[in-house]
Amino acid sequence: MSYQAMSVAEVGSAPEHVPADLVIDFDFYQVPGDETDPHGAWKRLQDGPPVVFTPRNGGHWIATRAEPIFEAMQDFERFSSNPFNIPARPPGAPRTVPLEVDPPELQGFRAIAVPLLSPKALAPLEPEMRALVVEMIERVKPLGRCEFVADFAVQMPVDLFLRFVELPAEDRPLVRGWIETIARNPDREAQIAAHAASYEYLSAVLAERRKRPGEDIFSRIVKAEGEGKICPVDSVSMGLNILFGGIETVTSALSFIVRFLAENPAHRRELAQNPALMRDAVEEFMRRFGILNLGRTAAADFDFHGVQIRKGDRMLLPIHLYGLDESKFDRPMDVDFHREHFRHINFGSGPHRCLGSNLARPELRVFLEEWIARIPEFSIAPGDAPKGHSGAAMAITYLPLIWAA
Amino acid sequence: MKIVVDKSRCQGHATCALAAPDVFVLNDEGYNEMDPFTPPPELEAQARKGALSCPENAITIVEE
Repeated sequence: MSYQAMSVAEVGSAPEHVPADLVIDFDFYQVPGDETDPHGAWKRLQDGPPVVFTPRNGGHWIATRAEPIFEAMQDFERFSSNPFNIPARPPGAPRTVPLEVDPPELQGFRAIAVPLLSPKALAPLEPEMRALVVEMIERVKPLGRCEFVADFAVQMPVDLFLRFVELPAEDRPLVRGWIETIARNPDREAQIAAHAASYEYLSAVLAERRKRPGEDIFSRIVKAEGEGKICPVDSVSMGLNILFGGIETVTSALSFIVRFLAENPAHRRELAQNPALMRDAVEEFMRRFGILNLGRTAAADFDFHGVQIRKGDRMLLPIHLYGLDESKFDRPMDVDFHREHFRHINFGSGPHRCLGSNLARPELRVFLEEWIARIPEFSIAPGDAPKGHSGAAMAITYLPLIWAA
Repeated sequence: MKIVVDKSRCQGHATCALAAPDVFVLNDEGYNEMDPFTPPPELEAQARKGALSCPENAITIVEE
């Protein structure tokens, strides 16, 4: 569906300060074409204006071009992160910490986690990460086939993360279940149950760490509680933010990478022949297949790229569209491991830069190194097709692969 | 060629050090606190790549 076809002339479908010619019918949870190609489906927005409005999901703006997206990410004063989700969390629901905290309060929360998530702090984890990834690949390799999302992409980040936060491997099915539900199950009751169960679980973990503190991130959070830097309610929220933040996103990133490589033998072979490209390849994949659609809330009335924003207006920032913008990258829809730079904002930009970026990058690189080394040739199962989905996070939900075992 | 890091813009992405490990040194928390410097000629290409990689546009290349 072209950008023009998305236009909506319905009177009263948008607030009066929104020009009628900027209103489109766009539900970001279900974008036409997202089943075959979520990014292609969104790219069409760049045929239109840099900022548009949709009445869907409570009504919100969408920045479609790199410039307004970047500017909004940097301008935390005018674009608050509270509330974040679109549609917004129900009134009375506690804010997510630190996701929904604006500077200057934000810095105090981030300071609790940053030392544990620096490249230096995480470097010793890489051998363990590699051993885990190799074990998972070796388990699946003899089968000659897999449904990559369910069999691998959902499991790998959870397993890695549970090791990082020193939670027992037996909790894997529980944690995976909640994430699946929260990310993919449209049933409201199931969602509420998953949120409640994960809240209870994390509260118990923090209680345990208060009794028996260690060096892990949850122990650091309770230590900060003792220093008056965070209250117990925010501790659970921060624990959940950390727990959920780094799992669904990595699942998506892995799936988009493997889907592309399954369909593009030349790129596969280039990586197999030249493993030194892996670091740049990971960046290029993140640029090309960005994951998140972030929410913001206008903190004041102001003009922004030709539109009048009113206080309280919601703004959706599709950070993946930054990397697909011709103003930033030549031939942006091509995957090219030899670009001069891969400066994407897949981990955000500004004060909410993803705290887990130094964990995610090695995860993806180690996975790619070990998968290509062990299963260099693979393709989509004949007669079958991958499925994708748009949403708060772009996803591949089904990826049937085969290879010679 | 001089490299100038705007420390106030650094958000700890660490892409500079990833792209140019021989040029950029991060502090323990993963932030770039380097004062302006001139990389040796053999590291200019790497320095350029690292500078361009910053998602905050915090690193400027000053051609001299």
